[in-house]
Amino acid sequence: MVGGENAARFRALFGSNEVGAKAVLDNIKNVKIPNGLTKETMQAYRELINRVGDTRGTQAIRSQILDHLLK
Amino acid sequence: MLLILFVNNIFKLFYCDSIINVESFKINETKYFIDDISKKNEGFIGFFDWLRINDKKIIGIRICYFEDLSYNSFLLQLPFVKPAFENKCMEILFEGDTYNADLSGDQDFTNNYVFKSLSGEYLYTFGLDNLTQEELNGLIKHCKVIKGSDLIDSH
Repeated sequence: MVGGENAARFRALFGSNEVGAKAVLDNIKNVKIPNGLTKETMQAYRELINRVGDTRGTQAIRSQILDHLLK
Repeated sequence: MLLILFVNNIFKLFYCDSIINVESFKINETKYFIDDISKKNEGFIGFFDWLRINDKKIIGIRICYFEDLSYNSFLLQLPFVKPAFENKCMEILFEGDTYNADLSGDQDFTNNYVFKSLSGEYLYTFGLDNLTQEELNGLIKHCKVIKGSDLIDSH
């Protein structure tokens, strides 16, 4: 599940808003996946992204982060 | 966490000093029960943006729930809810009528639960852990402050 305890793990991974996500993406080679965040959970988040409005492009950047990490 | 109570075509804001992690609780003698969908998804039912007028002040919230959830149709029929992004999102302003879009892209998703009373009143919760203390202090000014322990004790 993406919610519950995993929400905090995603926060740690993505940072806040589009600025935080962009900073992570720019440093993607050094990004470490937070402890406890599984590939299955990241894949679940990735699949949900297209089901909401992306108000500031934040989700698009997060999807790129996940695409890197899920390779 | 922030609680938004929708009742009789108005909304009321509450600030709770702790996370509500219960199946039901009471506010003003009305009991609210957690909705099955938000419970099943552990509070992840979409995303929300804090609407800021500047980098220190929050004046509203933009809610973007997953497209198939009934929460959308409920919110969209309320007179104070403004549709945005082709009805994929909904905005509620606590004050004023404008905000700075460049500062309002959190896409947060923590502790976003929905509760409902037996008489059909909805109450939505939103996690606040993304906010600075200054933002939080400003937001609280719009809210009635309640203690989480009081809610739990009122079962």
